[in-house]
Amino acid sequence: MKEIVRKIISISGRNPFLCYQCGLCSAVCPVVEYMDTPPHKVVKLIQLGGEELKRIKSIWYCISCMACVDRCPRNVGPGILFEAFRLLTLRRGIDKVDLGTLENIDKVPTIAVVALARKTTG
Amino acid sequence: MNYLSSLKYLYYPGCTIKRDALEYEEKSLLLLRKMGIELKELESWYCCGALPSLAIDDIMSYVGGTRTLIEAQKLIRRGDFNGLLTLCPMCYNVLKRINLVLENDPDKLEILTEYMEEEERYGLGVNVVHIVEVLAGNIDRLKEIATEKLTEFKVAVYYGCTLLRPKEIAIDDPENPEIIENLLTSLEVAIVDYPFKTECCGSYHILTNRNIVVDRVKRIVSSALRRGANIITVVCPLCMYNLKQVVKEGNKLRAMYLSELLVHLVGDR
Repeated sequence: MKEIVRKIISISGRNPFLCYQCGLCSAVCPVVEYMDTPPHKVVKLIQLGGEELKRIKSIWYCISCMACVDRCPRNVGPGILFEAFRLLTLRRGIDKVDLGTLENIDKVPTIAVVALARKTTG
Repeated sequence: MNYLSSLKYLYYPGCTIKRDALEYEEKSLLLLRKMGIELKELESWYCCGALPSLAIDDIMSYVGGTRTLIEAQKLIRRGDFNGLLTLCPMCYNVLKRINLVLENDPDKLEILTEYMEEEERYGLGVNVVHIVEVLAGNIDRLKEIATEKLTEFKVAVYYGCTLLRPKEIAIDDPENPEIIENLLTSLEVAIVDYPFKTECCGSYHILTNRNIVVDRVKRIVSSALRRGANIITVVCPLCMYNLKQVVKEGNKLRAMYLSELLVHLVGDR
């Protein structure tokens, strides 16, 4: 198994190989239309473990709304795999968003800032 | 569903209520006081973290929430409190999920306890409740004080995500929640049903991809409007902020916190 796939499994505690590609996750995802790769396809790419994985941007659009996790009939929980995927970057100390550059940071409710920081900075 | 009916709760405000949603707090506290429900605010509390980590090895992210639960535990032991009440659904969600994780995984609780060096360990079992559950559980008290009629209101209820997902901590059926509709119907408020009441508003994308939030909210709001709503009621300060990107003053549709709507029913003195 590829190292990246092994790590995603160990951080998420979920098994991507159980996915049978029903596409329910992509159907219920509120941000699927902004993603370069829909959630069910990301899971497929994780199964295949190819180089393409590194180019996926979809994981940064996921907002952990749990819509796909709750409904996944195979208990794969794509949103949880996405979190593990994000952490592979964040745990190397690489921030995806520079909080200092956000214009409306002092206007939005604090929970938005905390949530964004939790999901996109290391 | 077995609703709660005790009348004395500890209160955990969290960061956003105290900074961005003071009117939500004011109306909620007024409403509960009028219902004869007593609240005691925690003397010290910590940021819950807003969204819990979904990784199984991210125990650090539970520290803030667990410290708050320990504060509550100390007070519950001394006083006659039935639980820890939250107004913010994200606080509710995080504290409930920490409880769930620690109950199911004693090893994590051990690691956390060792790490935190708190004066006492978390003994699990602090009952975290959201204000909606308390309102629904005490509907008779609300009925007693609801003197006004809101005949002109046609209300679309917007739940958002965090009171309903993950389903293990949902306050009602996550696919078809009716707890707020039932509450309002029993107070003779007209309800409008529409299909997007549990759809995500776009959440923290407001900071980085505002267009996503605007698209999402337009879909939710236009559906409510098409069905004849003139009020959309929410319980989350972030949902409220995001809805207001589209719903402006003077529009046919008004966005209103549930607590404010109910204060209209009971009169505000």
